[in-house]
Amino acid sequence: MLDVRLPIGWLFLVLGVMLAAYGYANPPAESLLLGQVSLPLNLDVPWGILMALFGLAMVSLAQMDKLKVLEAQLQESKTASPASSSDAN
Amino acid sequence: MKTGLVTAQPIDYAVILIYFIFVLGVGFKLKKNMKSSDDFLLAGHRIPSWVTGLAFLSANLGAIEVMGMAANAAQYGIMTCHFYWLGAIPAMVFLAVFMMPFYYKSKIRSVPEYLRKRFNEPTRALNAISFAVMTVLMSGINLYAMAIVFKLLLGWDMNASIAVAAMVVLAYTITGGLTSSIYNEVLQFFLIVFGLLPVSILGLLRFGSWSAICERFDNPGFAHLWKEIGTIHNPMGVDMIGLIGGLGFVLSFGYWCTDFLVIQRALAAEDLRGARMTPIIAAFPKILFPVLTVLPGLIAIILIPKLGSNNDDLSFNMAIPYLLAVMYPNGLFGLGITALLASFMSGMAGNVTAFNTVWTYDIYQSYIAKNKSDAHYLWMGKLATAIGIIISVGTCYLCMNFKSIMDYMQLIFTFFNAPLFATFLLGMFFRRTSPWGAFYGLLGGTLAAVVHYILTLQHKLHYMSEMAGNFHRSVVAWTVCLVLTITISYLTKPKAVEELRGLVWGVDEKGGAVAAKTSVFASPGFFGVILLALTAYLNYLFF
Repeated sequence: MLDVRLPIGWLFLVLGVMLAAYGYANPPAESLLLGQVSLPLNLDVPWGILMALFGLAMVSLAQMDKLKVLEAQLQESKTASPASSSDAN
Repeated sequence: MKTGLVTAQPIDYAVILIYFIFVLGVGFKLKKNMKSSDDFLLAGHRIPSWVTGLAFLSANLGAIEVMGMAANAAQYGIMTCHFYWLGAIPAMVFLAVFMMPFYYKSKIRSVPEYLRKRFNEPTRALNAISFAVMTVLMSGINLYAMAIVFKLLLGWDMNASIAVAAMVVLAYTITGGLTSSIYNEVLQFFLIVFGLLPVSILGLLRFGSWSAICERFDNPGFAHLWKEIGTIHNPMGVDMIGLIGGLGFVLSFGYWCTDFLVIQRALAAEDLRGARMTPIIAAFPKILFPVLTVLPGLIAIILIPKLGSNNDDLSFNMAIPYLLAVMYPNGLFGLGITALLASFMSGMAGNVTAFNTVWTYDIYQSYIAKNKSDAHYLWMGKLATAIGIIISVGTCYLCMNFKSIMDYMQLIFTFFNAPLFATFLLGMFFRRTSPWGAFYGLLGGTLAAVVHYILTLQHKLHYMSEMAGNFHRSVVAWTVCLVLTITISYLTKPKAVEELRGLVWGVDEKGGAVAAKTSVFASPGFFGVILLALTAYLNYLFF
């Protein structure tokens, strides 16, 4: 069945890249008011990068598990095949 | 068309569109796995516990939780955290440690089915029908909240946004069933966190610290959980009985321990340990949820002092939507709106998937069409999903007549969940409870809540706030159910011990397999103690 980390990962990767790219291309006209000071912080960029990293982590975790399962299957077939070939002989 | 508060840019619409594509994609991808009614309605008992845990959390992370809790915080201050640190967390631990083994081991498909096994058919029928009514009444709240937010923020037509959201939820629940709903709930959980967290971060950065925020409150009671309860600064107007007995015990335990909407997520887990760990895994992020819901409400009441004035556009429910409009740049605004959309859709899908199971198994299969093929029940499950969504659209228009989402919801809980918790407590932990004792107790408890509500409406009973009335009503309903059930149980015949195996505390399963020994440090009880200690510390910290 579908690994739920894949759609989550891809969604966040796509949205994160989109957000960061949009923020980079369209910096806000007004500075962000923080306490007594206002900072020229372009919020879309750091938050977009954070989301993309989270998405990447999710996709990687899902892929790693997939590889582990494939490895286990390979191992199983390796241990099974010498036995079956000796049976055949 | 009336224009909204914010001019959304193409990037904001693109974020919403991409979210829709993924949500629908998950449903269609899972379609080929839906071969039996069990796959469709119960997710085939094969979902890992971290997924069921987050779905458990997200299924009730609907409009009520996100907008309702922020509204409550703007209205009553940090006392709103009692919903989490006095109510939800202890109840979730109790469910995991004490009640989940009975639910999971008795191999029930729904909560009403447990009542049939433990008591009798009429008790199951009473609960199934009242639960079906309750879920569709709840489901409509989400659609209504969504439509009003989009109308005020973006100027969208309410009917159009209700139709679009209902169709998207219908599409992904009818294709992928409970699995699709659970998968999307997990996806929605992360979206809600990423979409709303910047509000709290920006709010904290703006004021500098928690104490700086507290200094800005007009009412000092807004900054304390317990300190001002006995004083005139108590913003909620709730006394200790209402708070601890009503909210902390009856309403919270009633909701978290008996509501099939949440239990269903835990039952989808792959084994008993997974089912018991589901509420525990959910409880850890839940402890921190006030950062996403209560804190924005508190920030909103400082930044938008007119909030709560008797005007639809400035109702307390609009706390979070307004902060999104004021604080977020375009792009992030699209993400914030998508997070709200995700919360409405997960809340609605949660209700609809619980409704279709109870309808199909506990009403249709039990009383209308027995002994049909599984394919027939799969078809009925899908039909019930569609009908559930259509009724939700109807109840959505009904909700429009109510002023506050949270009061509406707690009122419904006092009728159904409060007495039901007494029935479950006695059913699971008191062997003498008889089938007819449970039935009349449950009926009596529900009627007591109705009578109490009528007396409140007629001003024969007075409470400082709607919420205080709800808390007291729940205590009354629970107590009436408890006393009636015990009294009638002693007057009627209980079930034989043989029939109670695996259903009641202290009556073990016959020949039941001995559970595999796991380390104490990996048991739900151990994590439960950690959760309770953390909760106690937070109560002390914000005393």
